[in-house]
Amino acid sequence: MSEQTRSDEPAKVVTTPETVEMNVAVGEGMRRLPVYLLLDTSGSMAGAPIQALRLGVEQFKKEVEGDPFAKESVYMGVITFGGEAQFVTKGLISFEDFLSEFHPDSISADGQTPLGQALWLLVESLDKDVKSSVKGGEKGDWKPLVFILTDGEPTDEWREPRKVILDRQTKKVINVITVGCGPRINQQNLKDIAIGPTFNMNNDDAAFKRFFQWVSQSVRAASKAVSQTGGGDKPATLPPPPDGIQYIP
Amino acid sequence: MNSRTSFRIGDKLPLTLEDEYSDEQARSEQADSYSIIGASVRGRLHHHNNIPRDDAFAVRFDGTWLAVAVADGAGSRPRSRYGASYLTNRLCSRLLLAARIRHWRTSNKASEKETPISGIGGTQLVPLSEGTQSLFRDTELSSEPIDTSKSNLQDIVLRAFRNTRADLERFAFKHGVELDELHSTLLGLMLNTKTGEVGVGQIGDGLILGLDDKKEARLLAEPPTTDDPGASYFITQEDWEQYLYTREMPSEEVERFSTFYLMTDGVANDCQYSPPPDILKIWANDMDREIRLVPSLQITAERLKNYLANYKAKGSFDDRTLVVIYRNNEERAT
Repeated sequence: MSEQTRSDEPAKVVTTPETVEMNVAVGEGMRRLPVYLLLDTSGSMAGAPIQALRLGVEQFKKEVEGDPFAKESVYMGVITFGGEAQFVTKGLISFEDFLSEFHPDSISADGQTPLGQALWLLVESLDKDVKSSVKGGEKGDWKPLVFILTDGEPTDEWREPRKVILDRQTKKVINVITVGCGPRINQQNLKDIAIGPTFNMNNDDAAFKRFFQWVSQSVRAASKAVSQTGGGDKPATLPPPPDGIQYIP
Repeated sequence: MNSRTSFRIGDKLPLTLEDEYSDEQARSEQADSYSIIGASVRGRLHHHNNIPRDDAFAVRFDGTWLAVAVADGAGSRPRSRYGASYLTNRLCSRLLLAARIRHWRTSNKASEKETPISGIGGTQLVPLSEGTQSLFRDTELSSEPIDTSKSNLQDIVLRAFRNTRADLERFAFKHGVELDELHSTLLGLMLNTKTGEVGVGQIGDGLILGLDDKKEARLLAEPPTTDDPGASYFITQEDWEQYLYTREMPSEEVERFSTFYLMTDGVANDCQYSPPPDILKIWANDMDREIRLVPSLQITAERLKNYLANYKAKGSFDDRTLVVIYRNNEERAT
């Protein structure tokens, strides 16, 4: 037999009625991008700040909803801490459910600042709701992105849960960003409680608007990054914060 | 079905970093009793962002050994598609060349001849026929010497990966780019179509699967990873060998497998995430059935391309590439 070597020229395919669609099952699961918002709703946020926070969350919903990739891959968890810490979304929920079930108007400001409780709720959800990779099996969820917004004056024991979360941040299994808000914030206190990159902002309407725009941009950038090979580590690289949100070294 | 004595299909070896790169591929061939169907499509996110496909695949056959490779260039590197297409073509060449040298050395040892050969490690290769030579035309014959005293397939695969990476370093240097500009995963399989021996290697995301005679889907490669869920592993990174997996499968083990799948991450999304808990098995059996449904390999390749272009798995946006190698039923019966 004579030897024949084919080139890379694509062959012309004649389509026939036999070219029917392949019927192949696909898994219903997916690698999710968990996003947590830990929002300070203590008495210090009463009045204009809490109203600005509500508008900011509403704006965040709209902006992420407009991104087809983020809308499909992002799963949300919202924890408020004012008086008592509450897991408002009752765990991680799909963005679709977040749109329909979570109403920012339901957030009110009152009581002290139980940041420690909120951090414990976060730890519990990270353990329970976020899927880890199985050796030789399914891959786990993407690295959770956590935004903590606080007045910087926690009133309960926060050191132990902070240590637990800080340990995970160090192991690069979560990405946490801490933002202190309010004109009287004590930067040293904020640095003490902070996990991950730390920022400071005002608590007026414009500041909250810019903050939630930045959160939306970060979430959308993260969802795009994880949607392609080599992007899984990208949530650590946030878009630069807008004017009015200062990095605290 | 007619089997060619040698062929090469898939994405082309790039000569420059400006070469044209197609949005999709759909190719098929026959290698002895094995049929090969391969297809690759640009991902949803790439369409949305108007960026090219970063996946690639290559298949080569020299009459005895079949070499298959798939790769996924990093989305964050604009020219990674050239890394992916370069690596797949080079790995196939390297695998075939190493297998040929092993064959020559083994036969030479058996006949106790001391014929000087060179080309690899300072020796001269046995003469290649004209058609087979074209398979190696792009392979520079300066490579890491192969210790043929071991000469097992795992060793051949490991060295082929090493030599392929060295080739890519030279390619990057020649074109004035840093190696990480060509970041890419790399998955490869070599199969002796006469004896049934198989060797596999993988670094980075994607899957190499086999479907056995009990209709179970088996992962044939399990590359090491870290705890970091966002980490990516590329042959282009400095500590790449820490994350490389290589393995050989003797003929007796391969005999149990009727079908092999090599896929990039975009396709792995379809079959990796439960529910149902046995989605890998269901997917592999469904694909095996569909790939054998139509006698025409060309039509099957088009069907596979159309399947890849339809995203049914949630959260799946990436480029999608799948090569299926299956043993024909009539051959299995003999």
